[in-house]
Amino acid sequence: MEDEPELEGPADAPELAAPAAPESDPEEPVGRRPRGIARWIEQRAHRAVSQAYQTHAADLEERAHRAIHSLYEKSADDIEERAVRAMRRAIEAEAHRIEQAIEHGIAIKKREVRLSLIVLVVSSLVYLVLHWLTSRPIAP
Amino acid sequence: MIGPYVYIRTVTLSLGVLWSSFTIVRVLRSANEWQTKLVELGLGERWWRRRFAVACLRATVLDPLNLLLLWVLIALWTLPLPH
Repeated sequence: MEDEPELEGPADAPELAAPAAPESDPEEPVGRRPRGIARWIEQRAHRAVSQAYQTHAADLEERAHRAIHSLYEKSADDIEERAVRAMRRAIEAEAHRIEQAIEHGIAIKKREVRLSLIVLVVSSLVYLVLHWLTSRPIAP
Repeated sequence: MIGPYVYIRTVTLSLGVLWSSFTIVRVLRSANEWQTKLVELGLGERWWRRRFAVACLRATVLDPLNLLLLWVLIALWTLPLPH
């Protein structure tokens, strides 16, 4: 443990002696940094892709816009037809509900009228009986 | 001097007219509320008036039992009273 050799000189630490790139990540391992021709190729590729993107960006955007617009045009009619069908179903359901409510109201009114008429008929019969009892001739 | 039977029948008829008037007012008020709701759905006033008239007829004279009771009541009320 005490006889651990010390590393000194450029031969012992070659990566530390290499010049650091100006935009290099300090946490990136030094052995993975592209250097030399690889770095030059990477920069050229980056520039080529960037130029290609700048050249075709507007065209790509226009194509995407046309594609989305075409898709919308295709689906708009279908969406409209579905909306009309849904609205028609909702109106039919509402009309059915109103019809049921009207029928229910008519049934209730029938029962109320019937009850009132029964009360009037029974009371009239009772009054007739009372009249007959009060106006019958008294037996001698 | 008014007889007891005539008095009772008059009171009954008056009460019947009063209750029927209250019922008619309540039904008309409910019909107006329904008409307000149905106008928003595109159903016209003429359609609603016709349906309302049909409903009134169905609840009274177009119902067989109610029509029979009406005839019995009219017959009882028009019965000549023996003196």
